[in-house]
Amino acid sequence: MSNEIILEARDLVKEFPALRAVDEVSLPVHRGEAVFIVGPSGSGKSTFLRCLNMLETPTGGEVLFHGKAIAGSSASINHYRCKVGMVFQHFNLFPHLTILQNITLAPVKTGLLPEKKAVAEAIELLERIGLADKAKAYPMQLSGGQKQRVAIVRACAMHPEVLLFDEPTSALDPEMVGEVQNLMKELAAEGMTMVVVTHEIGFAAEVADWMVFMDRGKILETGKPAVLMNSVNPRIRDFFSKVI
Amino acid sequence: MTFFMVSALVFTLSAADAVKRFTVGFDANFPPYGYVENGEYRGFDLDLAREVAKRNNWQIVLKPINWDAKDSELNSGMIDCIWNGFTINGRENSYTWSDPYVVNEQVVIVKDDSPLRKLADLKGKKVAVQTDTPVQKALKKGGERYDLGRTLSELVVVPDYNNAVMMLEAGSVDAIAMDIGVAKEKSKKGGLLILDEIVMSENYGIGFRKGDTKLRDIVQNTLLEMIDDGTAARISARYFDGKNVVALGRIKSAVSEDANVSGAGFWDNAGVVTLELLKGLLVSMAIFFLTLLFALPLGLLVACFRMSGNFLLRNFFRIFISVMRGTPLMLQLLVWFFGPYYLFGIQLSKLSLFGIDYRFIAVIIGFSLNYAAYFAEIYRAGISSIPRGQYEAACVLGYTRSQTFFRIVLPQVVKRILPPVTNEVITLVKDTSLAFSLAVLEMFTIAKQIASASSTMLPFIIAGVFYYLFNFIVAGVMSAIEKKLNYYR
Repeated sequence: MSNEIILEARDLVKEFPALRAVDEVSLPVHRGEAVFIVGPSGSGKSTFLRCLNMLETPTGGEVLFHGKAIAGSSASINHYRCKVGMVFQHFNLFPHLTILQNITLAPVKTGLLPEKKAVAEAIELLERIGLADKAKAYPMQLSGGQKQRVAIVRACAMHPEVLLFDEPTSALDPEMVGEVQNLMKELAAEGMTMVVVTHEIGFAAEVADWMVFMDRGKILETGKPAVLMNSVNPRIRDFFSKVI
Repeated sequence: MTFFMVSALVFTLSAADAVKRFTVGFDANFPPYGYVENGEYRGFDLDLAREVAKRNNWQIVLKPINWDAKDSELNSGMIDCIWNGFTINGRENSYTWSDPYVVNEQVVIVKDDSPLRKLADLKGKKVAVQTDTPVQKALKKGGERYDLGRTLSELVVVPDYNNAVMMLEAGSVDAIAMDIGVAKEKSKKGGLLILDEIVMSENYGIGFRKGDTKLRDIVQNTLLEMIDDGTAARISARYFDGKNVVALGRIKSAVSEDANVSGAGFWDNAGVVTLELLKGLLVSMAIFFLTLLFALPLGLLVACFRMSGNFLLRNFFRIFISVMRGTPLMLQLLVWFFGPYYLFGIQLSKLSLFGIDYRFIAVIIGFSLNYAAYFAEIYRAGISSIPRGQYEAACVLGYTRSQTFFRIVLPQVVKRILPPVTNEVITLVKDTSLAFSLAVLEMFTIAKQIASASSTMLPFIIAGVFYYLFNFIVAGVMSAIEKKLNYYR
């Protein structure tokens, strides 16, 4: 873990017509950290995460990547997005492409890697997660856990500096949660910088370097998991008493 | 058995009805013989028929018919006779005829500023004729005036005379060959000239159901009385300036009642008809494939504009789709064809591309734009149905908007919209018959012509089989594509 801040939100605001979903949130993310965002439903966790890679356009504040604000042309946003991968709750694999194509299409299309190299890397990644035999299969032939692991590998294939996870295990059957969490643990152990929105408090406590508690669009408290889970803040205490 | 029951029923009904009905079938677009004026049926033939009915104490029913369906109307008993400037020549054996009562001339009309003055001047020119008229038959190969017909660059077959006159004014044809009575009527409004030299003359008679000599004799005798007492001449004077004198009883019919329809055998006939229809099928297929070629990509473009963020663009194409779907395709075809002349004064004969007649080009433009509108809405539904997650996933992987659209969204859209597209494509096969409104001879038009010329349903049946087979293949191909795309859900 270094002191270098890769990604930083400064006074980030996202307002919808009838709702201030993210309310002046600031959060620095250092290289190699696993930051887990927890909190009650509707607290703005996912919206905040989506603002970090501009899937939602913030209505105030800024996002800095290596100290530079992300804004302006769609080309520069696109360039930034290649460096910040995202894993979705519902996997969002492309159903009409094979697993291999799902992984290689982006690095090839965006000019990151030549096709041969992209395929070789993809096979390597698939071997690592034990799904090399599914390279020619289509997403519909995979289980939920397998799909999510492929989605994580797909994000990794872009050689991102940061990976964002938006409730990656919420849509999975319970028996498949473990395999996805194990892969995320491995990534964290290898030093991948991660920002994770999750409801799995146990998992968060185990993996997180920092835990962030959000409520009503604001960060109430940030700390090491053990500290945060024993917070004196009654709202936070109340939340943990219900979910654990 | 059924037949007798039906007859008994009909008999009971007509017995209950004290007054006999006399139902006259006629083409309401054929002035001065039969036409609509101020919402009433008028015309020389209709006045004669009214008088005949009156003298026999019959109740007259004037029934305007689709000229192509005249034989079905007559044979099914919907009408008692066809009385409407009905030419005997060439149809001698198809009906039980009255004696001819009018000797009619077939003439040629041109624009009065045209240099054409003699029939010989028509060499290399385009001449319009109405479908299934004696003059059309006469000018065609094997007809009595093929010597003239063969010198023309094209014999343009149109659905009705109004259409022909519009084409003449627009410069899409050089002349029209038509009945003298109609020609006089049309030239009344000015700008048109009837050539002195006539193409041919022909006899008009009243056509009855074959074998219905009983009714024929009554009508004919009444008509004779009317000629003798001068009534017929007075009616004639209302519509003609002394020409076309009623001639019943003086000209003896060449019709021999004994002549039987034997002719070629059914199957020989079917072979010839099939061959003719196949020619039309090629034209239908050309319209079909060219329309798909243009309308499928165009529809995608329209759908994109329709979903555009630009207010003007979006609403312009919303209106475009609304108009294209909200008006008849046949009307649109007429607008595309006649528009350049009536709006900009462009002579249509000068509008051609790579030697393709503008007529055909207008059909392709009309079909392509109309179908593009329908396809656009199908595309739009397909595009809207792609989950947002697909866009987001593509987005976070660094795809540009066009990469996202063409690599991720469109392939999935294609799969989703196949069933509704198949529907439209099958409709298109059948819609190709609308090309007739611009006198493009596709299969159904040819079927109608052969059917009305030979008094048989055979061409319709064969055409129906062809349409079905064509659509069967189309549906098969589409379902094969669907199956091929079934590897994902």
